[in-house]
Amino acid sequence: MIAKHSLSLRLLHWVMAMMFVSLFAAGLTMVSSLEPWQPSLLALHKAFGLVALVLFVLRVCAKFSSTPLTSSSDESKLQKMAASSVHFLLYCLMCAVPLTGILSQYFASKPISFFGIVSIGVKSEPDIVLYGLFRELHSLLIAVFALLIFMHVAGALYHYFIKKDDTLKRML
Amino acid sequence: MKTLIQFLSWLGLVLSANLVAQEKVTAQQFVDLQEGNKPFAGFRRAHAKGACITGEFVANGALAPYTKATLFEAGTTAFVGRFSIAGSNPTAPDLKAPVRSLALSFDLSSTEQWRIAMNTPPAMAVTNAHDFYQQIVAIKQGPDAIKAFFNEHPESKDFLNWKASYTPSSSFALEQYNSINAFYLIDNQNNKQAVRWHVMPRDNTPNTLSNSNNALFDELSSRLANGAVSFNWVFTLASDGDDETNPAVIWPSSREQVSAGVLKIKTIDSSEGARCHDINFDPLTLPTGIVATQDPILNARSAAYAESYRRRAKEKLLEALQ
Repeated sequence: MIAKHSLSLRLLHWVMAMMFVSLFAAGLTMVSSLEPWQPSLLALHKAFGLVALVLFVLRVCAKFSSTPLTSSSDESKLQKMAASSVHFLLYCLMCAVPLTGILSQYFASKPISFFGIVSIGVKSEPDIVLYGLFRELHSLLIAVFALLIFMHVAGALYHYFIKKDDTLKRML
Repeated sequence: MKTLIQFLSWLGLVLSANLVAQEKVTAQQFVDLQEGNKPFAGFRRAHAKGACITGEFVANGALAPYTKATLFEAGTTAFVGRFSIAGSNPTAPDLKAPVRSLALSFDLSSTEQWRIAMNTPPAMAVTNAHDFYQQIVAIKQGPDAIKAFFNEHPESKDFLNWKASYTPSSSFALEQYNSINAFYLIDNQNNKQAVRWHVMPRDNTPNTLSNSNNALFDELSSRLANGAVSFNWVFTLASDGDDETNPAVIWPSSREQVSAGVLKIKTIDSSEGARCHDINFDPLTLPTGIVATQDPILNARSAAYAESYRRRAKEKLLEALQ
């Protein structure tokens, strides 16, 4: 019997994983495309970015309200430290990436519509320097995020295929 | 499992759309072409030379039945704007520019912003961003290339007819500026009406221009020193036969027009720190009650404007950090 993570954490993990991959693909596409669907993709990217931020808050609540699982693997101290550092940084980026996106739009004075239901208020007069700061941070943090996700996936596959332990199965 | 398959299919669709997009002109290639080999750091990549203006729009309420946009209810709303000339050189001579422009920004509330970018031509010569890219390539190559380009693009007929009849005026204040692309007005019952708009000068007093590189901006400053410069803001309503997605076709002059009110320009500021320089006049930044049509050029403008804005924002950031 595998001691799995709570259902809420597992659901949030996979939903957010799919969302981040989609947001990343949409982001890469929309910054270069001049096709007529580009503005719709941009609007979806922004709206789902807001959803990702809300899910992050829920995930932090779920994380703190559930009992942490003890490691099922005989990892070295260094491996444990590496894994927990990657996890900690992933959590930081789950929050910082959408936040920098929102702030870039705030300082560009471009309201973000949440599926046409409500909009996020923006600065009345744009500030191009602060827009530049948060726009570049958004891209930079996404690159770090992608690298960490790659390490995270590599670690999970290492546990599954090489160590043959329950680390990945606990999240399924 | 079904959800996962659906997701993977969607992801595949996005990625393949990305690959298809890569074969066509990208926003980066477009802005690369506009800025040329020597970009002017911190300046807009298109319409680099300009001056900021402030003023107010006095709405008469005549357009209010057609749109939820609060701007058109009878009353007065302040705006920030910019007069500019086409080109990537911020010190170019005013009178050599083929296109003059007026951009407006309405800060209606923290969630309602409207950016408008208008030009002197009433139509585009082409119908999509990729042909527009080739048109700019041809312009850069010279008269023979542009002649060959127009021969291959019969859709440029309306634009060429306008060009043949157009004589540049002696003032920014005496030009007519056009939305070019069409938008939908959405009323309280959610009915939509396709429209284009133009602003028509209320003044007709010509001025003698200097030989200076800044002839037009100097003229506007001296004109404004004597009082506000005003334009009528006129909306043309499309009829059933009009294609609102084709920016190369001018609608017949018989179409119903609604004059929404008067734009009064009161001040001009040509300094580097002026208020409009931080604004990206992306025409897809729209308030409630105004919606973009599926015009391919209108929908391509947003990404190109964003790329230009990002480049100059990065340069301004680096400048601020030094």
